[in-house]
Amino acid sequence: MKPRHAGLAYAVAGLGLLVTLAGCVTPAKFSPAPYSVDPNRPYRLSSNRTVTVCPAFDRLTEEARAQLSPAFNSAAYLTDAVQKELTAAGIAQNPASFAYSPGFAGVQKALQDGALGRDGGVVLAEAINHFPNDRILSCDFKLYSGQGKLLFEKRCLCMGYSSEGGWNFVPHMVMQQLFADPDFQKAIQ
Amino acid sequence: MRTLHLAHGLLVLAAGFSLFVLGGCVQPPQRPAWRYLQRPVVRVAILPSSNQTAQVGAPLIIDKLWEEHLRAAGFTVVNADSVVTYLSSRGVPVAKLGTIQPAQLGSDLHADYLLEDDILVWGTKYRVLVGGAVVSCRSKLIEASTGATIWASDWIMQQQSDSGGNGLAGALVNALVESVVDSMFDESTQLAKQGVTVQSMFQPYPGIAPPMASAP
Repeated sequence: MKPRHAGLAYAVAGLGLLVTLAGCVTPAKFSPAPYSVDPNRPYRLSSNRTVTVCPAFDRLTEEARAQLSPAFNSAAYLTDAVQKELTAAGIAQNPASFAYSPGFAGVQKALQDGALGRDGGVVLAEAINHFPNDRILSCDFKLYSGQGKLLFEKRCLCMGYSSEGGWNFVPHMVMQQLFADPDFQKAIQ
Repeated sequence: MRTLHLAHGLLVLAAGFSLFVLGGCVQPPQRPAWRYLQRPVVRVAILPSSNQTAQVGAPLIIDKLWEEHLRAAGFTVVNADSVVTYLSSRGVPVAKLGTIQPAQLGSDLHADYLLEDDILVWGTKYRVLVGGAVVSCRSKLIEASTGATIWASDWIMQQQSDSGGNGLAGALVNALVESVVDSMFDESTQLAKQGVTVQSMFQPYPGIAPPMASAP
């Protein structure tokens, strides 16, 4: 190779390296691994009633959603987390299927119309409010009787800026705020 | 002479009344920091800080600062002294505080939340000609009924100064606690209004350590 061509080759290679590096430092979008139940969770949950788990409602703002990976479905993540916690507690579940607007009002309407909760169990509906990264998670939960009576509601929030706990710390704390709540435990009985 | 006394008395009374009215006018507005938490009154118990440093007075300063700022933000506070009194009445040494379940503590202290602090660094560092104060702490707000963490942070503040000393460290902590409580209030109010948006609590406060845990 002539020296002039060698210089050109080095320049192209250098440019390629720069482009590659620039690609590497682009901030990654947030996409957590699937939820896993904490084996050391400090609460016990039991119920003889079947729990119908509604698919979670996505209330994320555009700003918050922009920080998430497009492949990540935050509402599905929350539904999955709730179902896994109930399964780990040995509580029977029913999948919810109803054609009403996604939201707590829609659930209440479905209950009033008899489209939900006909099995005599309770209905758990949840909404994800904020989840821009692995530090903050905010969710709303509402538990209804089969007749549409609101039995329990709570807004759970965890902001974890500590090195304590793993990355799963924040979702675990949110689940603990729900499942370890004595009022929730009483309502789900 | 009697008339003069009477006039003087009336003047003092009027001044007192004016002060009373003015006092009412300048009272800070009630800051509804509890709204997001959906409870009429949010009661926070400040657990005596655990101290990993040689500065014996550090926990007293931190606990008192939390108390002042939380009260100013509209929270009902059970202060660290009351917690110590409660522990004494049960015959539990402060070092064994962790053996009592959060639900038990919350119930006994009539508190919704428990604030824990672990002081990691408190003091002065010297470099060649100038010194500076550095304070580092691990703070946690726990929901008493469930034992779940609501908010947790590892934070460090340092400031360079030629005077240094622990007075500066105290001032640093004061600034930090004020900003943290204010940001908790701002966040909760914003959440209460919008129901959906939370921004990172510490973004506007440089000097606080970035998060240390890492995602997989």
